[in-house]
Amino acid sequence: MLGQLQRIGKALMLPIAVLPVAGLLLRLGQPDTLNIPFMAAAGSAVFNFLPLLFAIGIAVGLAKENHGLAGLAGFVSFEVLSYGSTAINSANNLGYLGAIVAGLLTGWLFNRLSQVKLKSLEFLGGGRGIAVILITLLSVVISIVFGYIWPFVQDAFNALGHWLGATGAIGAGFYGLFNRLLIPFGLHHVINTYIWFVYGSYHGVTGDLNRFFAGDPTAGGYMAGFFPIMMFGLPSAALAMILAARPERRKAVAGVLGSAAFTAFLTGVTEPIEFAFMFLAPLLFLFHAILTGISMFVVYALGIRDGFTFSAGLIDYILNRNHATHGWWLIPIGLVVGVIYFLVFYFSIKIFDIKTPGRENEGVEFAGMGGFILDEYQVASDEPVQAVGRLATQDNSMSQQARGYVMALGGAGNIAEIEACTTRLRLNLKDMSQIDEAQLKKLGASGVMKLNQHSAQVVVGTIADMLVDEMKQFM
Amino acid sequence: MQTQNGSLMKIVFLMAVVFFVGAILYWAGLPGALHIPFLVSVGYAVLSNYAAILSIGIAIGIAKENQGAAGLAAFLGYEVIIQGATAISKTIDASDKSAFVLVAGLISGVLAGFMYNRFYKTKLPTWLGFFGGRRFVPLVTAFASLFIALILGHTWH
Repeated sequence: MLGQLQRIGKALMLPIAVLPVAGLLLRLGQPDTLNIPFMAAAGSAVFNFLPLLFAIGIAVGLAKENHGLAGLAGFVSFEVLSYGSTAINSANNLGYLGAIVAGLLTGWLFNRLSQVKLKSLEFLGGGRGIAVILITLLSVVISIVFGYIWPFVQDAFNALGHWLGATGAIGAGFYGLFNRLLIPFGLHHVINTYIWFVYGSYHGVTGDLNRFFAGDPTAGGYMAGFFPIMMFGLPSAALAMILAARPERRKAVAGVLGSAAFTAFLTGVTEPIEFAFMFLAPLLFLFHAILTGISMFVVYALGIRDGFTFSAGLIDYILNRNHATHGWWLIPIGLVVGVIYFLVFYFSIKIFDIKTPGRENEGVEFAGMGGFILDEYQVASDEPVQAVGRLATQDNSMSQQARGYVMALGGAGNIAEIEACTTRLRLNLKDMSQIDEAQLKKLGASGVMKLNQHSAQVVVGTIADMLVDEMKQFM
Repeated sequence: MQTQNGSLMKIVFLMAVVFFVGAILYWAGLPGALHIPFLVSVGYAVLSNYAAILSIGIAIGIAKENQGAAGLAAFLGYEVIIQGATAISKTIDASDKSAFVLVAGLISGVLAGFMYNRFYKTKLPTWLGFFGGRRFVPLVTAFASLFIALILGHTWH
């Protein structure tokens, strides 16, 4: 169950990665910035067609080897579902929810149906081609079901939206809390998707994020509270960890955490900092989640509204400043949050002697920031870890590294299946005992997870995609 | 162009079959045949999007290992070209059956396919690391499509 949900969370990443394009084009094109109308038109087009991009992206994200035909099928499936269900009941509007369901359904069906082997249909691309055709036909049938049940689905989600709206700042606070608590599992995207793309309606546009960029003055309440945390809170936590490191390690730690703090401040990508203490000090992470909730609550209650297409960093803050309501208040609030984070982190680390980076016992090798990393979204942290901990492998070309990985996994003969998953290798091995964990760590892997007798995952960082491509050369 | 021993051809055949399925559904629903408006609608869902489907299919046919990120980039580029160009010139006809959507589909498909093969290994500085690799492809395709929208917007009649 958890594994399935994590796959969905991961599949949401590809469509989410195109959002900043829409945001950049729209905001740079609008009159208060560069005033290039056709650019703004292109940007708002991307917003309008986001449901289709979700259908394509989620199907691709779930499909084995991220095969493109799944994306094609996802597109066709969503179009058929929306036309079909609207033909049955003209009040139906599938929107994001329908796109997500279409994407999930397509990805799941694609993986099952593409196993079909029919020699005579090889000219269509074999099983995958057959899967696309079958998904198209199945979508016709499913659209009938959708046509009849969608009014109830819409009602249920509208009721959820009204309930959330009625809770106001308290709801925003709890959203912030759960958003951070779900980070270790990578499931925060699941609730984010509802809040940002489905919740509420303004001139036919749904979701807090979409409505914000469509000019809804009430939207942005579920994003604004992240700015103080991501621009000030977590960078201050990083500063506290740097100052708490042993003097001889401080410089190396400052290199890693300093760049992570800068990343958080500028772009709002915070996982590298969060993973640095999440597993070492769960209580500090709980504190962080609670403070995020409080920040969301306070900011919402004060009537501050601000939004982002990527995350709550300086870039989005500047880009969207003219859309925000009382946006500048976020800066003084952020400074207060920053001081609180610094004091809490610095003194907890010192008093409870938490082994944050640079405080490991003498003689213990700097083992990486998070140890076992659960989240696929975990982005930039792997690289700096490698930069500090594995200088030896820096000069190695990717190709040599790939050869090393193949050997450490028991050679080409032992690898039955290999797939890259953003920051990990997902492996199906013939003999699990042939894994050389020590060698893998030397090559730069930050974690090895043996799931059962045959499947294992190796966390290698953002290079995973490219590494697998190279590894296939040796297999 | 065909890196996967003719996979582009296979995908073109496949798209032809998908269009054919759409056409049969559409035809079967017409008053002259079974007279089921629902079937006309679902058939139209496939046929009216033929240019977008072509765009996605061509892109994944060209892309190494038929990767889906190319298909996503293609659809993104397709919409950027159409919406950008029609914002520049109000006289462009971009309806379902116009020549313009076909051209936009073909250009964005080929563009996204080549962009994938060129940029899928791009390494970005750490702070932008999230947008490196395959995720970089939709980004560059969108910006390249913006230039195509600019050119088509000023030249298309």
